[in-house]
Amino acid sequence: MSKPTRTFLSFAISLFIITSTSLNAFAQPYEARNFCRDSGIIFAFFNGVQTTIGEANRALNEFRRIHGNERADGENIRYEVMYNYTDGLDDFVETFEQRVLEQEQILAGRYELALEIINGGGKWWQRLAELATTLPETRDDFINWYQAKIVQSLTSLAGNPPTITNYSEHQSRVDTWIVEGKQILMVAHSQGNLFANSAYGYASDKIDNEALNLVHIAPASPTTNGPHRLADKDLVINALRASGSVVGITDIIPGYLNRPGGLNGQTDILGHGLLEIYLNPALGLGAAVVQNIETELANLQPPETEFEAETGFFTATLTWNGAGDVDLHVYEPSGSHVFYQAMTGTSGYLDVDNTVANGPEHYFAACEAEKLQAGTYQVGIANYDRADGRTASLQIASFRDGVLGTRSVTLGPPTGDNPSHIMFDVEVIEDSETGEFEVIVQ
Amino acid sequence: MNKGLFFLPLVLALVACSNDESSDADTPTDDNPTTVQELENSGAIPKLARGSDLEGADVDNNGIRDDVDDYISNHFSESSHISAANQAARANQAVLNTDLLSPTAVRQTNQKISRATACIYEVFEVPGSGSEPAEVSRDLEAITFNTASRLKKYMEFNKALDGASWSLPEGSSCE
Repeated sequence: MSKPTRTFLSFAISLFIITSTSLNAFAQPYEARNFCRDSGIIFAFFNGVQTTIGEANRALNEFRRIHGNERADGENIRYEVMYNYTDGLDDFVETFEQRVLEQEQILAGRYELALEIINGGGKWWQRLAELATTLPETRDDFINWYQAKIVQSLTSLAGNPPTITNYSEHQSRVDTWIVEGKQILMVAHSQGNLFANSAYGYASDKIDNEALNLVHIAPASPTTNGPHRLADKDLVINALRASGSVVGITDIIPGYLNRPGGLNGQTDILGHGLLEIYLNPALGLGAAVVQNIETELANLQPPETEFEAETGFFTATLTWNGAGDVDLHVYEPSGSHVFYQAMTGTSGYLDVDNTVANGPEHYFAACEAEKLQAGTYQVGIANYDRADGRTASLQIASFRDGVLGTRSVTLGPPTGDNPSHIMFDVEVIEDSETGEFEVIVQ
Repeated sequence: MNKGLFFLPLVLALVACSNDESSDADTPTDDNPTTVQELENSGAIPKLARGSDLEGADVDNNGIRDDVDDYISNHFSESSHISAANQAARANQAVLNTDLLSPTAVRQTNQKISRATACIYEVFEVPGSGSEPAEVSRDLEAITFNTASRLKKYMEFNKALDGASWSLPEGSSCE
């Protein structure tokens, strides 16, 4: 089948699916069970330096608490993390042990203090400090070491900024948002700004400017693509200023001893924390950050996407790095083989087929209980034509939890309509008691 | 009989009870603690097991270390709070059993943490809950990774998720 024919068919079938789905919705005498909440806005959070998985999750929940599940116009918001780890702190535990725990008998073995001392203390640390007058000195010594290490790490990262192609999962996720026609708000804190700038540059080449905004919080980068907020007593960014350029200060915050506790009760001696400083509702800075985000959320407009893919119960997004025609194949539990020649399956659809370059190709499984089948969905890829040696990435994401897995492979010679690689087994499990579905990847 | 000898068994029993970790150790005993033990007994700082084994003791086999179980029962009384804290504790504990060389295993544990954190917010952000969800979540994280080996495993788990993406769970996340 010729490429123009396939492209036309892709469009026609997508149109048919959308139309028939709408007609079916009118025809049904009862309300079909739909597992998915249609969200037109993605709130993508790029975390800051030395953020644990737990802290990244808390930040995301706090953002939802502040900005809600929908915008003022009723458009739903979906919150996602684009996680990045801080390199260069592999000796954190050993140094904490040597510089803190071994300095005072009452601290011996108390590693639970490690995650609160990096903010300058905490309720447990404060109570222990009542028993030993040397604790503030011990803390300051460790904070000095910690500050120097993260500044060193940030300087190194800023000197050699990450590219989104090094973070294939982030790149595939951005591709999925774009093909699904989302409005995207990126919010970045600290070193997350370096990753967000890269993602923003990648996305801005593919969607309308009005559908993409970025808010910078304490950016560890002089480059900005949207409004920013920076505290005058942010000792991390101030230290970066000494070794290079950073953005201008926007807000004055109280000194450490006069600082009110943040969303987690912490005050942060370095003046850099997200929950402690920049989202602190008791600081004017906290209100200003929230206002920046609200404004950028309100300014987002729907993109004029050529093909708007559906957000399914789970989705498979295929991309590759260059020219060529790579195909996505899904074998559904019913035995249906969904690919460019059979775009409608029993449970899902191939709603975007790319025959030219880069992708994406996109499959979605239905959100309706009446269509979604339990069982194994095998998801594979094939070099149909001209993609020898390309790196192809396949990402599986669920409506409920976001990305479930991303895998890449180097393609060999063309294999026509037969997938050369089965990349994922996606298991859809139905709870017989509740009727709810769960999806896991193998 | 000497009265002192008559009361000796009772005195010894009381001493034994005071050294028993399974006693109601976190019950407040002193308004102005002057020792670490008093701080622990008052609940002002956590009283934790610090064995060298990664996973620690879980006698009732509920997926939560016994000292973390004690912490939860001493800090929360409402059933919804206890249930949410238990879910978070189990998710954190799962990190210690996770094969970091398996991306699928790492991601499944992360999903547990993501859902458990959302559940903490679901339950504790209700006005009048008495606790900030961020503080509840952070404390449970800290007490789970309370030895060098546990904290290192958690840092390595974090590193294994560098470049990952996930979403705030849709719908209720409480088990």
